[in-house]
Amino acid sequence: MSADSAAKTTPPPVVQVRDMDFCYGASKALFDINLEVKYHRVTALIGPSGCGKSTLLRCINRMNDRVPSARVTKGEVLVKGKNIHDADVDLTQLRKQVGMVFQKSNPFPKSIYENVAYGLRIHGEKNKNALDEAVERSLRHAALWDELKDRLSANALALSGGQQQRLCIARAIATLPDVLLMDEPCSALDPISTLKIEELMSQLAREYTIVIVTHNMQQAVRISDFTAFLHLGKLVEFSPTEELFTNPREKLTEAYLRGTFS
Amino acid sequence: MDRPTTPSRPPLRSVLLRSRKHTVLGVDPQHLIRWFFGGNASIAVIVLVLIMTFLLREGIDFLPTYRHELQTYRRAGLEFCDIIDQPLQQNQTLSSSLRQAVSASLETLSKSARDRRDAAFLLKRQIEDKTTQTSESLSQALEKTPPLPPEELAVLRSELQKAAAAAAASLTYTDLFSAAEREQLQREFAALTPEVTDLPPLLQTLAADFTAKDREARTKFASLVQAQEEFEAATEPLQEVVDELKQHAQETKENAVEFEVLETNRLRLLEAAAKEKDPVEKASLTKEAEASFTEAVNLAERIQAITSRATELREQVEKYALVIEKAAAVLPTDAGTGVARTMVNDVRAGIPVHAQAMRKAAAQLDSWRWDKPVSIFTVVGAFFFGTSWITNSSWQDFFGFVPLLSGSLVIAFIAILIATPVSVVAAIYTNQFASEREKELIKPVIEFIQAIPSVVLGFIGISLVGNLIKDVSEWSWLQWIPGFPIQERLNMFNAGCLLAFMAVPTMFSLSEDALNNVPRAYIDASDALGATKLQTVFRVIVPAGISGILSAILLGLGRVIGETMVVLLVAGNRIAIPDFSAGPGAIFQPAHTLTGIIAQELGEVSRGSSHWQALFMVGIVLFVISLLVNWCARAVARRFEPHKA
Amino acid sequence: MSPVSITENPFAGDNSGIQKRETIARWALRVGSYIVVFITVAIMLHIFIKGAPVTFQSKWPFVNTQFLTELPATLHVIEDKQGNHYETDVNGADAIKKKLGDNFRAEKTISYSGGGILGPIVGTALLVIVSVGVALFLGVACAIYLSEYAKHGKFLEMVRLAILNLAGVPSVVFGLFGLGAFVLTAPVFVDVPADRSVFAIPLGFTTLSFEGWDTCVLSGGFTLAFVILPVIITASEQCLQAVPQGFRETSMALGATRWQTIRYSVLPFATPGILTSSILGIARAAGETAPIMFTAALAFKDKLPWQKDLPPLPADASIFAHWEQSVSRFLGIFTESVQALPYHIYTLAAKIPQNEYAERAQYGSVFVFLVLVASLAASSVLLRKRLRAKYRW
Repeated sequence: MSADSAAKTTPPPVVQVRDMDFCYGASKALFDINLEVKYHRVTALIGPSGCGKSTLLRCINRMNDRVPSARVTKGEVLVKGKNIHDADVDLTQLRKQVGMVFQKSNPFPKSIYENVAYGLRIHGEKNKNALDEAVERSLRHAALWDELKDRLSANALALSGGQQQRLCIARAIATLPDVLLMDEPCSALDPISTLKIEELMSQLAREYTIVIVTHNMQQAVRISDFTAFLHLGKLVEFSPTEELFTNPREKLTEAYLRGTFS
Repeated sequence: MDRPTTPSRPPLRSVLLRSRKHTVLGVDPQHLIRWFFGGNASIAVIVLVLIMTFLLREGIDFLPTYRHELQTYRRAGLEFCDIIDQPLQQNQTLSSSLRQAVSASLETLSKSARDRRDAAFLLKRQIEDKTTQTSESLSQALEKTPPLPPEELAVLRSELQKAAAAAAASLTYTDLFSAAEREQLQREFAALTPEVTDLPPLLQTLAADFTAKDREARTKFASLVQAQEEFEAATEPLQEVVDELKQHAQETKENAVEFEVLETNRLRLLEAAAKEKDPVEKASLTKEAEASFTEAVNLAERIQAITSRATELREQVEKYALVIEKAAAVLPTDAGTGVARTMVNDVRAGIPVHAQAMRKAAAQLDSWRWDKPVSIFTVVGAFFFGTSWITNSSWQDFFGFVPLLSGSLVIAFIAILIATPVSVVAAIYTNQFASEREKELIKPVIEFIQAIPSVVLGFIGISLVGNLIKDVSEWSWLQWIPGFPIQERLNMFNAGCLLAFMAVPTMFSLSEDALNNVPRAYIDASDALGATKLQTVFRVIVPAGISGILSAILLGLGRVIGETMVVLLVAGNRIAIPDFSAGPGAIFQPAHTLTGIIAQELGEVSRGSSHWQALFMVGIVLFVISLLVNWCARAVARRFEPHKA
Repeated sequence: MSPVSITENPFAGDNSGIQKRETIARWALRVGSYIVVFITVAIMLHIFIKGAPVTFQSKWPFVNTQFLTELPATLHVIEDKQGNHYETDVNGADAIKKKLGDNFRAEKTISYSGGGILGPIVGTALLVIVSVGVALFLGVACAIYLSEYAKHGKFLEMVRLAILNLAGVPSVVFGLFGLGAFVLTAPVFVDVPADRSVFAIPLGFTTLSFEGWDTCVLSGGFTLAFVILPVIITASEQCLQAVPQGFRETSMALGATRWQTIRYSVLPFATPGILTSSILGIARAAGETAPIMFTAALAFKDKLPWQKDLPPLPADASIFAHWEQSVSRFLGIFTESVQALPYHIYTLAAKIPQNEYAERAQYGSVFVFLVLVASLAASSVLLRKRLRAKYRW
C-alpha cells in the first residue's frame, strides 16, 4: 500500500453513492446508502446474507438494469464524477470502465485467448498486435501468463476452478477499467486458489480501484483498506478496515463481528 | 417444486396397509407388474427391429431377382443392342437443337408474317367460341330433313350475324394490324357463317404472306436447312439395323420369360402330383404338367443371329460417324440470330464427340459376351449407382437408385437452405429480443404449423404455390434469375419451399431450446464487459448454443427427407436425374423422390415382383438414412456441449 | 463530499454507428420471424376463403349439410343450350336429361367431386380410435416404466434411443412396415389357412394363421399407432415426471407397494395431462397419409363401414342369432377398408383433372380437415395451459 503517494495527490473518489434508495418492484432493497470508494483502494462490502451487498455492487455498473422493475428510486450514483443514470451515459462505455468478476467463474466456452480478447473485440479493437499485447498484459496481471502462455488456444473450460476465476479477472482487466467490482470471487474456490486470488488482488490494487463483496470477514481484513457493513439494506458503518474491525462504532457491527448473528 | 406438500392427497385406502403376501404362480405380483411395464417399454426397440425385419423380408430378395433379370437382359441380347442404341439417343438431342436453330434462323425473316397470321387465326377462333351456340343451332337447322322454312332459317341467320358482330366488336385486336386491317377483320368476322368453309380473304392473304416469307427464308438459309436434314437422315440406315436386332432380342426375351413361367408351373404341378395320393388326381396333375412342357429357348442359337451381325453394325456405325462428321464440317456459321449461332456451334462441337462415342461403342461390341455371368456386385452397383429407374417398360426394367436419391437430396437441400436461416432467425428473435406479447404470437403460430397435415400442404403446393412461382417467374424484371421463366408448375423448388415450411417448427423449437439452455453466467459476463445486446447474442449466446442449433438442423433434414405427401404431390414426379448442366436453374425441374416413388408405385405392383422388392429396398435405404441422420444429430449435440461437460 | 467538476462525460457513447447497427439488426431479425407468421396466416386465410363457402351457406342451417352428411359421389354437370349448368348425381342426371329433351347440350362428369365427405370423416374417426387406443395402452405403459421403474443402465438407454429413432422414421416406411406386418402377416383365426400364410397353428376348432388382416381399419390403425407412439410416450413421461416426488415418497413411507403408489398417488394426478397430450397424438394420427395408403385407405367407397349386406335373418331367428349378427356387423367395421380424409384429399388433388367443380370439393375437404385437426391441436394446447394453472405443485 503506497499510502504516501495517495496522500499527496488525494485524487477524488472514483465511486460516490449518495442517498440512494433501490427497489425491486414494490419492495425496497437498499435504504439511503451513502458510500465513497477511494481511488486505488480496496473497499469491502460485508454483511449477512440478503443484506443487499450484491445489489449495491451491481448498482455501480447498472447490472440491475436487466431485472425488470428494479430501479433506483432516490439519490444518485456517480462514477468518475458522472451520474451514471444520466440520459447521455452509454451503458456499454460505463461497463467497459467498470469491470466485474462474478461469484462463480464464468469463462466463455472459447479459447483462453478469445476470452481475454473478448472485451477488446466488442469495443472495436481489431489490430492483432494490440490484442496480443493486451492479452499478455492482462494474463500477466492476473498471474496466469507463465502457466498458460503455451496453450492460449486451449478451451478455457479445461482450466481448474481457480485458474478460471483468474482468467475472468484477466478478462475484466483487459479493457483497463477504472473500477473492478468483485462479487464474492472466492466463495466457490478451495483455500489455495483463494489465497492466490487474494495475493492477486493486493497487486491489482496498485492499478485499479476495487470494490469486493465478501462473506468472509478474515478476507476483508486481509485485503481491504475500507470496509462497509450492511444490514437489512442499510449501510450501518463505513470506515477504514482496521478501525471497523478493532473499534466498531455501531453496536450492530460489533454484534455481527462477534458472531452473535450472521 | 418449492412446496413438496400435497394439496389434495389421493385416497390412500386402508386396503394398502393390509399385509398381502399371496403370489401368482409362485411369482410376486409386484414383479409381474414390473415385467409388464418393462415389456411395454421394450416395445419401441421391438418395433424398430420389426420394421427392419419386415422390410428385409419383402425387400432382400430383390438382389437375386434383379440379378436374374439382368442376366436375361444380357443373354437375350438386349444389352448388345443397347450398347449402340444408348449413345445413338444423343442424335435426338443434337438434331433437336439443330432444328431449333433452323427455326430460329427462319424466324428472323418470317416471324412478323407468322405472328400476323397466328393472331388472325386466334381471333377467328375466339369469335367461333363465342358464337358456338347460335352457329350450332343454325347448322343443325340446315341439316334437318325436311328443310326448315326459309323464314325460320333467316331468323337463325340474323341471330348468328348479330352474335358474330357483337363478338367481333368486343375483341381486342393486337397492334400487329393497322387500323384498316382491323376494320376489315371485324367486318369479315361478323359475316362468318357455318356454310362457308373458305377462309375470309384477309386471312387468306395473311397465310399466303407467311408462306412466301418462309420460302424466302429457306432459300436464304439453305445450307443450314440442308445440313439439318442430312444430319437427321444419317441415322436412318443404322437405326434400321438396330431396330431389327432389337426386335429379335425382344422376341428371345419374351420366349425365355414365357418358358420360365411355364416351367415353374410344370414343376409345381409335378410336385403336387408327387404328394397326391389319389391316383386319378395324380394322373390328371401329371398330365397337366406334361401339357405345359415346352421346349427351352435355345439362347445360344438365337444370340448367334444377333452377334453375327456385329461386323455389319460396326460398318454402319462407321458410315454414320463419317456422314455426320461431314455434316458438321459443312455446317454454316451464319445463323440468323445469336442464339441460333450458339446452338449451331454447340452442335458442331457436339457431333465429333458423339461420333467418337459411337465408335467407342462399336468397339465394345467385340468384347461383349452373351454368357458372361452377372456378378452380385454388378447388381448392387446397378441398384445403388444405376442412373435410370424404368418400370413397366416393354423393353427392359431398370431399378437405378440415383435419380430418386438425387431428387430427394436436391429438394432436401433447397428446403434446409430456406428453413435454416428463417427458423434460426426466428428462434434468436423470440428468445432474445421479443417482448412477452410478441412471444405469445410467434410461438403458437409456428407450433401450429406442426399440426397442419402434410397432405394439406401438398395441396397448397399444387393449388397456390405452384401458380404463384410460375407467375412470379414470368415477371420481366426477374428474368436474370437462372431458370426463369419456369416450365413446370410442380418442381423441386416448389417442393423445397413447402418442405422448408414444414421443417420450420421442428428447427425453430429445438433451436430455441438450445438458446434457452445457454447458461445465464455467459450472458452476465458479456454484459458486464459492456457488450451490446447484439454482440452478446452473436458472440456468446449463438456460439454457445451452436451444437443445439446444428442438431436441430439435422433433425429438420431428417424430417424433410422422410416427408412423403408433399413431394409426391408437388415435386412433379419425373423420374430423371436433374440436369445440372442447366446451372442453378435446375432446381426448377421436376423430379421424383425416394419417398414419393414408394407411395406412388407400391399400390400398383404385385407382391413378390422385382418392382415390389425394389420399392422395399428403397424403403430399407430410407430407414437406414433416418437412423443415420438421428445418430448424427445426437453426435453433434454431444460433440460441442461444453457447458454440460 | 466535494462534487467533482464535470468537464466531460466519461461514458459518452463513442459513435452512433453501433446504435444504428443494433436497431437495423433487431428489425431484420424481427422481419425474419414475422415472415413465417405471415405465411402461415396467409395460407390459413386462403383455405378459409376458398373452403368456407363450400362448408357454410347463407341460409338456415348455415352449414352445408349435404357436404357433411353424404358420401362422396361422381358429380354430373349438365349444360343446356342456354348455357345453364345443372349439378347433380347419377340418378338426377337421367331425370334432367329427360326433362331437357332437345335442349340438352353436354354432360360432364367429375369423379369424387359430388356428394359430401361423410365417408372419409367416418373412416378417419375409426382409424384414429383404433390407433389412439393402441398407442395409449402401449405408450402409457412404456412411460410408466421409464418414469417409475427404470434404473439407469443399458436397457433404459437402449429404450430411449429406440424412441428417438422411432420418432425419426419416415412415415412412408411405417406404411411399408404396416403393409408387411399387419396386412400380410398378422395372425387371424381362419378355418383354412391361405397360401400366403407364413405359418399356421392348428387349434382344433380353428386355426391361427399368420396371413395378415388385409387392408382394413385394424391394419391402418395399428400402423398409425406406431407412428404416434413416440409422441405419446414422451408426453406421458413428461406428465408423470411432473407429479412431485413427494407424493411417491409419502405413499411409500406409508408402506404402499410400488404399484399401489403408482396406482393411487401418481396416475390420478398424471392422467388429465396424459389425456390432454394424447389429443396431440390424435391430431397427428388424423393427419398422416402415407402410413394408411397401403394399409387401410380406399380412394372410393359408396358405403359406410357398417352398411354391409348380411344375409337377412329368418323371421323366427333366435335372439342369439340377432346378437351374433350385430356383433359381426360391429366387428366388420374394423375389418373393412375405409376412405380417409387425408387420402381423399390426396385423391382429389392428384388423381382427377383440375376444374372449378373439383376445386370446390378440394377446398371444402381441406377446410373441414384442417378445422378438425387444428381444433384438436388447439384444444390440446389450451387444456394443457389450464391444467398447468390448476395443478401447481
